[in-house]
Amino acid sequence: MNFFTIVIRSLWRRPVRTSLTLVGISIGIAAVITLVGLASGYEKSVVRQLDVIGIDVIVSNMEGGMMPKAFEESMQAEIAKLPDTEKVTTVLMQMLSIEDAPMMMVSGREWEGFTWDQLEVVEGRMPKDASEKAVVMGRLAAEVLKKTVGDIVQIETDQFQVVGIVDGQSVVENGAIILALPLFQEVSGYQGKVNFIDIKVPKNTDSGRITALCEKIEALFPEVRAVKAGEVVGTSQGFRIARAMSWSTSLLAIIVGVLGVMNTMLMTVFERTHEIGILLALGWKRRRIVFLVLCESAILGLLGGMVGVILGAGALKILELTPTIRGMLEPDLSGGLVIQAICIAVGVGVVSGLYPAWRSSRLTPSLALQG
Amino acid sequence: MTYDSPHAHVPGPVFEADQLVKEYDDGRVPALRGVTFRIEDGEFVSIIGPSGCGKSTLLNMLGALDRPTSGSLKFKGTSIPDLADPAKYRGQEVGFIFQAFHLLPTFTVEENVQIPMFELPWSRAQRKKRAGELLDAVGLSHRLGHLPTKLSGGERQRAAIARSLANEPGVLLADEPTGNLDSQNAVQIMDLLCRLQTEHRITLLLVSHDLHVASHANRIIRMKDGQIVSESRPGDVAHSPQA
Repeated sequence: MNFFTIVIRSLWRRPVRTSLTLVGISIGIAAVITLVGLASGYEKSVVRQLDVIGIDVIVSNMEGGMMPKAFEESMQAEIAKLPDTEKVTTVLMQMLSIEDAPMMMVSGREWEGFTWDQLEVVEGRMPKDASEKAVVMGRLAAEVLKKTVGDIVQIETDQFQVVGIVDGQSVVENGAIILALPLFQEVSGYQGKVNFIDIKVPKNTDSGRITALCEKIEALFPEVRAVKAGEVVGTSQGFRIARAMSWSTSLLAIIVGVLGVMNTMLMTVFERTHEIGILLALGWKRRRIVFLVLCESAILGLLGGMVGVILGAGALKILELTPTIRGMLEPDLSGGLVIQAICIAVGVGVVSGLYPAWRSSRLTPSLALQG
Repeated sequence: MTYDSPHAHVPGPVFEADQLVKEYDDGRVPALRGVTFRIEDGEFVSIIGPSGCGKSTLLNMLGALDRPTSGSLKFKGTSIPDLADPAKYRGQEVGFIFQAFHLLPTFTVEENVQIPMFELPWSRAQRKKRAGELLDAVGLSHRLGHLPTKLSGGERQRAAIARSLANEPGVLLADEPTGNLDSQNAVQIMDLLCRLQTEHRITLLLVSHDLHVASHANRIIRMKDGQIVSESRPGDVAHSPQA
């Protein structure tokens, strides 16, 4: 028998209560894994999309939240005149409810802009020109909407023919409906407006010059922000909101977990007053008893965390398959997030055990022996 | 018996109490009212008296399980209430034997005996070996893996005695050790305690309300209403069972 035998034996004395507490913590940790995994997956999907398309600088007005506010399309011509801009193209992107899908990315792209280049036609063809009332669909979007080439898709009040299914090489691209910019401006009521200007800079342009380009754009058009593609996730308000929301919701779940463990540990200490009295009488130091209680609560946290990670991973997998999420983002369950979640769970355990441990250390041995 | 106490037996008092007072409930309930006594090293002293006379309270003070309200109480010249490390004192200087045994129900007999050893820098194997020796010494080597609930009252108390000796204390404090036992088991337990005390010159303080049990001691202290009313040696007429 070693010290941890005593810890485990103490926890296992009330298996039902220990299990219920584990469930409480694991739900909290599963919430962390699911929400943060979704937010992180969203970020990674966007980063991957930008990387695949080859965008170096994004010009947008991120005050609008998840989707940037629209601005004048005419900015593009002015920006294209600036040095270190090889290609400049415009995009109007909206999240819309399309037929049975509650949310889907619809991307109106300047005809012949470089954002069309990476799309590989899997089936059918690309639209003939900017005026053809046609769309191409990412593979996942077509799967979610159950469309094939030749089908009709309704966007807002208008109908478009699906002329091609494309592989955009990223989840966001594959989950989108893509059409020529003027068509989407018309159907969405944003004539002459876009919400992204994507810029490709010449190869081997150093980071300092790209930064200077961003500053020039912002000086010319104070209403927008120009951000290097790699920094979009860190600076975008939408991403920050998503991250904050996922963590704050997780925090609530964690607080519930803390209260659950604290309640269990307090009950344990109250129930074991007599036993703690015996340990004190047998020469156990108060700090060893504090350590015993903290170890018990930390192990509860650790086990709850491990179960929570499994539950969270399962929830992410299920969400990944739901029509709402499918094609929009790729839930991310990284090793870092798992470690973070387990650390949180152990922290929850330790924090929850502090007060019960302190209570146990304050017991007078003779009174504790009386129970 | 392989138990050997490491404590040096030096002449002089092990315990010295002077005008020891203990009050509960802000002085409304006096438990000890000016108790004064000396206990020499290697003595076997019984403290007897009716329920509520303060004998268990006194034992708690001696074991640093509680603090006196006033007065002086010393262990080998050191004030017990002012001990820098009362846990070390409880774990290594004294061993407790309780009327209700106080064995931990979810641990086996052998594990119960190991519990006090966790404060010593002993390995798992050393703890196991020592527990085995102690249980052998009290005649429980066949019960090592049993839970306390599977033991008879006498066996439980023998396990508790083995546990009290775990850290080789120089003093045993026994609070009504036969109080929950039938007469046959009570005799066996007292024989065991007497043997341990005699063989190893452990200072043994035994609290009892039973004069038969108390009469095993070299000296008997009689208490009433929180005070010592008399002291005697076995054989004195005043302390025969009839008295």
